[in-house]
Amino acid sequence: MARAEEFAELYESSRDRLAGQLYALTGDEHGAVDLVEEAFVRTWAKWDRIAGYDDPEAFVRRVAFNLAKNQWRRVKRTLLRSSPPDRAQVVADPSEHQDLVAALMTLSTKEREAIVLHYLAGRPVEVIAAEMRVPSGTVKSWLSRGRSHLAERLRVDDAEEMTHRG
Amino acid sequence: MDEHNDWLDNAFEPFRHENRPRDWAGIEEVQRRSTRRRRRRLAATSGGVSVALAAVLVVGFVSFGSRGRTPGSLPESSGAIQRLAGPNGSVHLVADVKVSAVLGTRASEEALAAAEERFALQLTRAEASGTPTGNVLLSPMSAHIDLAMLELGAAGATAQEIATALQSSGLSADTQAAAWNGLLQSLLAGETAGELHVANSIWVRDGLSVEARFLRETAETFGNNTYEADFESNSAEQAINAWVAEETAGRIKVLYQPGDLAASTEVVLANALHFHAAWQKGLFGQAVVEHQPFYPSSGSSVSVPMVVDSQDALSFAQGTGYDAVQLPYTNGRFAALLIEPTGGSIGSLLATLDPAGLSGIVRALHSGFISFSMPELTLSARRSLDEPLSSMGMAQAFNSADFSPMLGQLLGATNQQVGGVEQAVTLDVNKWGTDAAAATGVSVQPSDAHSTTATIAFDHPYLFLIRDTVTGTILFSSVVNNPAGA
Repeated sequence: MARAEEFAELYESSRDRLAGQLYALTGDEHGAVDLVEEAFVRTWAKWDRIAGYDDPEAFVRRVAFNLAKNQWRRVKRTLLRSSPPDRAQVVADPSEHQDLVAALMTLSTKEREAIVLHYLAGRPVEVIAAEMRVPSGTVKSWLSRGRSHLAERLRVDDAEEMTHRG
Repeated sequence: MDEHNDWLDNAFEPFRHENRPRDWAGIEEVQRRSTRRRRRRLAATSGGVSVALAAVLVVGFVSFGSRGRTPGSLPESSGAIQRLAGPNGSVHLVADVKVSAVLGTRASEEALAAAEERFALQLTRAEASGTPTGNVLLSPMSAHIDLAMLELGAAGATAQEIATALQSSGLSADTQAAAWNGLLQSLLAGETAGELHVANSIWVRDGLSVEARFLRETAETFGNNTYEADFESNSAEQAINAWVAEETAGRIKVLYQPGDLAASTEVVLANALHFHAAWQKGLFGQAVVEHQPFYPSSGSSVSVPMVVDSQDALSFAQGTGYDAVQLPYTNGRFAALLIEPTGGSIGSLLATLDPAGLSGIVRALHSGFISFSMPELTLSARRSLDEPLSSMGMAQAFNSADFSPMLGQLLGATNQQVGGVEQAVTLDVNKWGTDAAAATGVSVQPSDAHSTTATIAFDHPYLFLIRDTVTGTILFSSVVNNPAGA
């Protein structure tokens, strides 16, 4: 397959999936599309090399996640200059995923990233650890804390969460 | 965490099958934008690097300080130190060198845990004596870690004073730091993974040179990030608060109020700690929460929500002068230990409680059927630890101190002082479990500066400790005197 066709196929097949993951990470559905597009813009510049990767989609996701985190830092700095709002209040999304998105926004960025990578993108703990350059135990820690906070926030039945923990 | 049909997997299901109409750019547009940008970059005369992207790609590396740089200089595009965006306008200093973690020996970790336990009991006693009818809420572990970092940067009598306060005179500062790393590794990545999160950071005045050896040693043992901040405006306080909020999952938003840090502050060492754990499976499955009276040490009784349960799975002890109950968290290693004096005051219990006494209480714990009730708690405190630490042997460091291993000789480091040790703590205890967070900051400044302090008092009478049941390390301690007033 030609170089440009491979890139186009990756773009067509993965952009919605990645936008869903970015939406879960940032709580901003429209911004998620911009981030995914920007990640593809940057990926195309290095496509000669990236095309040979086992999982080029993982590279695009990493670039998009990094862009999101830097963007979030800028937003956070701006917000802190006025009055620090509850992170859940920053979300103004009318979609049906509002509860989960709002709950996700109450997690720390690392916990949220780990949760989205593991439960939504289906990445194994060891792979997330390598991507985030931390020990597996740290990822497990973020996943466990993130789960607990989400369960609490979403009022998941105690027994169901305890079954998982037990 | 990999099982299928998990509730969280299901909750994410709508995100996997998005059929929303999205306004995607065409593939040609994506490629055009990329090509246009590459041309612009090639045409540019100066070759700036993508600092924002680098910030994430170097996350695994240890932060490092900058030396010999003039204040306010532009981000470096080459060389060992990268200057990246930190919280709230601060600058995150990152070196592209990798340092190896230095761990303690088993013997040094045991000695450290024993020192921390002595420190915890003494700090709690010192705080309680200053507020005999109020609530006390502390994180001895957070304070000990923060001051252990400070000790790495201290010399001579200052280092001895800090070691005395930390109850660790038998351990060198290096050994103590390595032991903390080893102990924390076992608490953060073992069976207790997910219940505890610990982070450290160093905040350096814009343009100040910090000794490379100090930064390397703290990075090897405390894994801290290093930031530059402006202490002359309030932006340093805001930046540290933003870091604390991030590391405590938003539980603590304010460690420093504007003006808490002197404009002459040179360095702040910060620790953040977040503990979040459910009670062991089934512990309070049948418990009810109902209002019952609580009797403060002074004044009339108050009606507060209590977790009430009767069961035979609890460990408890009824010794001479006390009742005690131990409540294990999910993974069994951490536990809450509640000790209530019988026939005496909480003050007299605290006055005599030492590590041997605490071990005696733990050894006396046994299972049996008991009717049990404890208040639900929502406590928070932000206070200066200057007075209790002074009383524990660190008095001179608040006036004149030697931080030459941290700041070198050129800046008159032997004429420094500890500006203040501030701690903010939150504690939530309910039928589900416990969420507790703490942040400690210790500031270093020239010895002629002054800092403001804050003291917050609450009310009530039992001792609440969150402990590591293996080493005895005390993460949180609270003297609870009036839950209704929390």
